[in-house]
Amino acid sequence: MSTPITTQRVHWDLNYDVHLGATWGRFMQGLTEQKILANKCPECSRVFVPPQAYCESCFVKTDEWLELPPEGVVEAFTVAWLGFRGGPKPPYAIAGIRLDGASTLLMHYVGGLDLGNPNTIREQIGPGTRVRAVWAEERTGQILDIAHFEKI
Amino acid sequence: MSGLNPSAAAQDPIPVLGLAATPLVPESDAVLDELVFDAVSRALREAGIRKQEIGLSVTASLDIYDGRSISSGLTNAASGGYLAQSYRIEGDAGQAIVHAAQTIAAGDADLTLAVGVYNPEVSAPDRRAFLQQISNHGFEPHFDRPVGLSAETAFGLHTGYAVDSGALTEEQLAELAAAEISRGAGRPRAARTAVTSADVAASAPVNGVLRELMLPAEATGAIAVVLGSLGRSRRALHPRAVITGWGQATSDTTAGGQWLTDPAAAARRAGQEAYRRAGLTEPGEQIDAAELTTSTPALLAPTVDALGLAKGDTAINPSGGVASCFPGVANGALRLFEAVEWLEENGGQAVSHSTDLLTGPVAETATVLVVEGV
Ligand SMILES: [Zn+2]
Repeated sequence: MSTPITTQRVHWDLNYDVHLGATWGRFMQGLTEQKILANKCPECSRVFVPPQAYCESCFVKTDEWLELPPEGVVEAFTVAWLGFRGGPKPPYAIAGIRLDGASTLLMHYVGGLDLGNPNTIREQIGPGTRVRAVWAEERTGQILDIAHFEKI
Repeated sequence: MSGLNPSAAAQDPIPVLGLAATPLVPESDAVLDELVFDAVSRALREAGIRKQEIGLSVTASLDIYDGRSISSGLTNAASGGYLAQSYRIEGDAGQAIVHAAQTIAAGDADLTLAVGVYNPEVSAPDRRAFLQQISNHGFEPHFDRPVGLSAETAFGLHTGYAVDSGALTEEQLAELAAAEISRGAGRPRAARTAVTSADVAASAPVNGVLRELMLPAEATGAIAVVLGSLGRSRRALHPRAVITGWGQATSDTTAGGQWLTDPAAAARRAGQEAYRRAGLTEPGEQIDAAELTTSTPALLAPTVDALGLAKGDTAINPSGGVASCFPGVANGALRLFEAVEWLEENGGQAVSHSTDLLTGPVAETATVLVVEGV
């Protein structure tokens, strides 16, 4: 008896040029100069990084820009033990980082950790750990211009 | 003829006239529309209603899972929508059920149908890796996608946060997962067999402290629900329950961070609206059972609390919840199905809660339904 044919492989190959808009464009330009730019809501004074064209809560346009230090505190942390198709090679560490002066969380990789033994991860990093951005040598205006963060 | 007599406190009682599912299996070989047709035709047959009588069909599916950029073009006819009123929502079936109920409440139709279908077009063995790739595509493309975010990572971040803040221990995570899986095991739609907390703790590490058996039990299939107006339902064959309240809400973005500190915020807002419509004032006292979409053990307590069910003796996830069976975007219909079957056995009032898990606890849309036994 022959094996039944149950599926056929289909491939989608689409290249998007996803628009950045003026606000994110300015942020990405800042990264090429090793600057982390944030902006601020004129009503609630929250500081956004990634910046936002408007405050979703107050529903007004943001106005003021400011530069934040490339340092902050880990608020949440995890290690992906399993990856996904087309994604980074596991294991890799990701943190929700509150940069000094920011009201929001920036998600990014954390480098320089020993991920060999799951039981030693939480001794190395956790909420409250201070981290600093490590810049990529070649910067082209994308979030990976920050290669990763590392413990200070 | 039935003696439908829904609670007078309910603003718009909407009877459930039919409820049917295809077999829920790890991977179906069927074409998407065949699954939809199977569930819809069974639900209509159970309700004693012909396709031509349906005033509106709403399908819940997601193109990117379906491998078709307008998959509703394929499934529309199978939903009963051929040359009729129909639309599709990209999201969880709970939303489709809300839309179907709203249409009746608005007086736009006497009979409506909602169907959720989920059979991601991928084969084992790297099914998980494909689903997480799709999840990564669900995240914001400039900031979140490049740093490898996916639903699993967002759940891993939240669970780690909960453990680090002392809300619960890794042992408790394993115990909660084992209890849910084992409660569901042996039931008709269970996708997992009974396990101990040691089995959970020994299952494959997936993300942070989360292990395979702490995450939802993936299944595929379609589930359909037929709803009717109160007047039309009095002539129905066998009304199974009455939806007395519904609510929908969304949660915060990645950067907002509320998903870490208050992960059930959307459930809370959706619940408040559903309870208001149902005329419930003390949900903890009035709700007898709840079928929740608590995708990790760390989400159980926040969700139960957000829905006002922490005090009282509400049966939580009597079916084992999504730890026992999670059919993707059809999940909202399964949670209702389980709640209705529980009411048929025990009577009283129940709640079903669902979200799609495309981006984990980030930017979720939660749906809450209140259901009453007949
Ligand atoms: Zn504001």
